[in-house]
Amino acid sequence: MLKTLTTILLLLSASVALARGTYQEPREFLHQAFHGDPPPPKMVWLSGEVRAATQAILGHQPAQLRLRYWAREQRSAWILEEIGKEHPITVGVVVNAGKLESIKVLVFRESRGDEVRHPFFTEQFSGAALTSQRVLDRTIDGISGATLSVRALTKLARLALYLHQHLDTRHAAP
Amino acid sequence: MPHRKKHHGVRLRSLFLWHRYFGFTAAVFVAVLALTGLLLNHTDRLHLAERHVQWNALLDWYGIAAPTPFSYAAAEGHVTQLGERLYLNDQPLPQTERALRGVTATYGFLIIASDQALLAYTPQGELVDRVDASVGLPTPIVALGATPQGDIVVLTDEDSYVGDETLYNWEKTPLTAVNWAQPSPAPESLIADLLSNYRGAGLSVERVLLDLHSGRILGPWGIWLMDAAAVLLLLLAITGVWHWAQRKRR
Repeated sequence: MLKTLTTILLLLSASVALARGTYQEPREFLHQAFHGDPPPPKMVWLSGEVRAATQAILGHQPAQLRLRYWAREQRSAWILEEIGKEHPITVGVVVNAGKLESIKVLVFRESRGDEVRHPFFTEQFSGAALTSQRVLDRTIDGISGATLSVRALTKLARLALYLHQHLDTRHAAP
Repeated sequence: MPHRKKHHGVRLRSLFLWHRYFGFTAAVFVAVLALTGLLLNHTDRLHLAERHVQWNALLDWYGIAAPTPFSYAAAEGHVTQLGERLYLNDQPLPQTERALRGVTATYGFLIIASDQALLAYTPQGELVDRVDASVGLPTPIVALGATPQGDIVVLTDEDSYVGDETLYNWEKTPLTAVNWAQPSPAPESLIADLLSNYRGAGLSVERVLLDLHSGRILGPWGIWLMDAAAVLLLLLAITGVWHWAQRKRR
């Protein structure tokens, strides 16, 4: 009985310890996203309408006044952060021609909910686009026990798509 | 028959005495358990998790010590690091960093350097950006400085680099005429406030109530003490019921 309890406790503590971690360095993510040759970083200032839209997507004031991105032709890559429950989750997002190409959890700092880093979850976002209401054009299935992490990733996917769209509009403007 | 009755009376009195002793002893524990239990039931409403203990004796009891403060002076005041927490004057900054390496004001920003990143703030204390190795910042940073022209310079173990106003582009630069940021002790009154804030932020009222409720506030023996109190309450209930049953039989 004691042995079984000890094993269960050990497994539980190990799963908490395993949830946290750096799954890919941001620099590696960018190299992978741009086939080993990432473009120089650029920045987008979160002011005026962009700030208001960002706040609406995140549901709170953005933590910083500018975000950085890497763009070449129709593709842009974003490294964004959003708090799941207590700690920020660092996520890399690649957008291609207005559609989400890939999303990846780079650093997970929460003690639970790291299931969102697995491909079975992140692949749901592939090809997703933003509707006129700035929500995803598809339903993302949640994961029980990881609701807040799912919510954080969904927000970041929407934000990357919105910012990509904003850059497109800015470049298209005469 | 009278002998049996007398014996029964003595036993009943003895039972009553034990019940009273159990009752007196348990009263203290019942009061602690009931009060802490009541408060814990309303943790959210009373915001107990967000309220922090400022009582030094209790913070000492928990062994919450403040690390040695480390400060740099800037036009906006002092930037101080306590542990991984950063403060601009007496205001805690939301970002945490491992090791503070310097502070400088340039390109219209207040720039704070840790060993792994640069934090750029507006003079009002709003975070503009956190720049790290993913955007090409040379790390680990050993020192932060500025050229006489106001360009930012970072020193790593290997070289020194000058950055542009985006903080994304860095080029090697010779180590000449750089004004390196030097640590500068903050006023004692500010340090005292920060230490109090740091220690207080480490212990919530909810934590203290939970520890009082479980007995953990007294360490491992406290848990046994609360176990003993639980057994005492059980005995109180048993002797009470027994006493009532005996009197009814009489």
